[in-house]
Amino acid sequence: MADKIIYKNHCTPQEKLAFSGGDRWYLDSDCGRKLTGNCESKSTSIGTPVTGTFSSTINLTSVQFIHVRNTDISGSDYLLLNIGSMGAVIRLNYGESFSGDVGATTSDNTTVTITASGTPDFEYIQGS
Amino acid sequence: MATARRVIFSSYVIPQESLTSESELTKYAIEGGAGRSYGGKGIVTTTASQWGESWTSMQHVQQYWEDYDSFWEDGAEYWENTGITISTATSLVVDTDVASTPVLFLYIRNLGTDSDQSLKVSLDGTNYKIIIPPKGSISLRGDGTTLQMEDVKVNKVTSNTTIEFIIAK
Repeated sequence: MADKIIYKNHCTPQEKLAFSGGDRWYLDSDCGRKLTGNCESKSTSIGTPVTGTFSSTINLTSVQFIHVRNTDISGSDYLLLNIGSMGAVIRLNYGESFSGDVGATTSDNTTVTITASGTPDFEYIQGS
Repeated sequence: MATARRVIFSSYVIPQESLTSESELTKYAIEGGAGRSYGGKGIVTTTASQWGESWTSMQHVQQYWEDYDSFWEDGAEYWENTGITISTATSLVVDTDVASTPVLFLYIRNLGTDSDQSLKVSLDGTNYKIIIPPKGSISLRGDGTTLQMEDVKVNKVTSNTTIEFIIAK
């Protein structure tokens, strides 16, 4: 059996316009539309999903694909992702996730480090 | 004039495994260990008045040139909305006035379709550690301090490709 991972990242940019009857959100006119990417990961091996409550730094190695989600349903605790030592610059508030291929090339792998502010619940699954 | 802006973003992951069958057809099902699909969703509140017209690469025919308030040399938009060609290391933000402005939201979509048109992304301006396969994309919320406009760069992996993006403060 061979594994494959299909993943999508989607976004809907919106702008709020003021009306006398109340403000309304519209599709952002600077963008004009929604955006969606849909592709197959370079990873061909799927690891076991991991869930838990954050208590200490999580270091993942040999990662080609990563999906991490902050599974809290409310609150201000958040996760930070550091992919390949680029810095802990990806923030995940409650309910949010990051999904993507990692590594310097289409066959390379790298490290992913998960830290947090507070003790959010999390889940992650990695491909290699 | 927009009084506020936000971006609703989400990701969706389907882990699959191939199934053996007596026929020559290859069928895929949810990978047994993963057991289900995965995903998440969030809303990033961005700034109503963005750093310039180039905060998004998208343009559309309903937009009037006279509504633009930035300089041509600061922009990389394509009127035909065909995407921006990436053939070398490219910063998504060329306006030096906002080089140190924190990135609150980033979305990059690789419009390439051929298998050799992968895109690589750097979030520190030096190391490229995220790969976007052809037709794929990434979306992320910045940490609000360390990830700055000048840190976000893209480059081709093998062949030239095209992208569209949103990079918002």
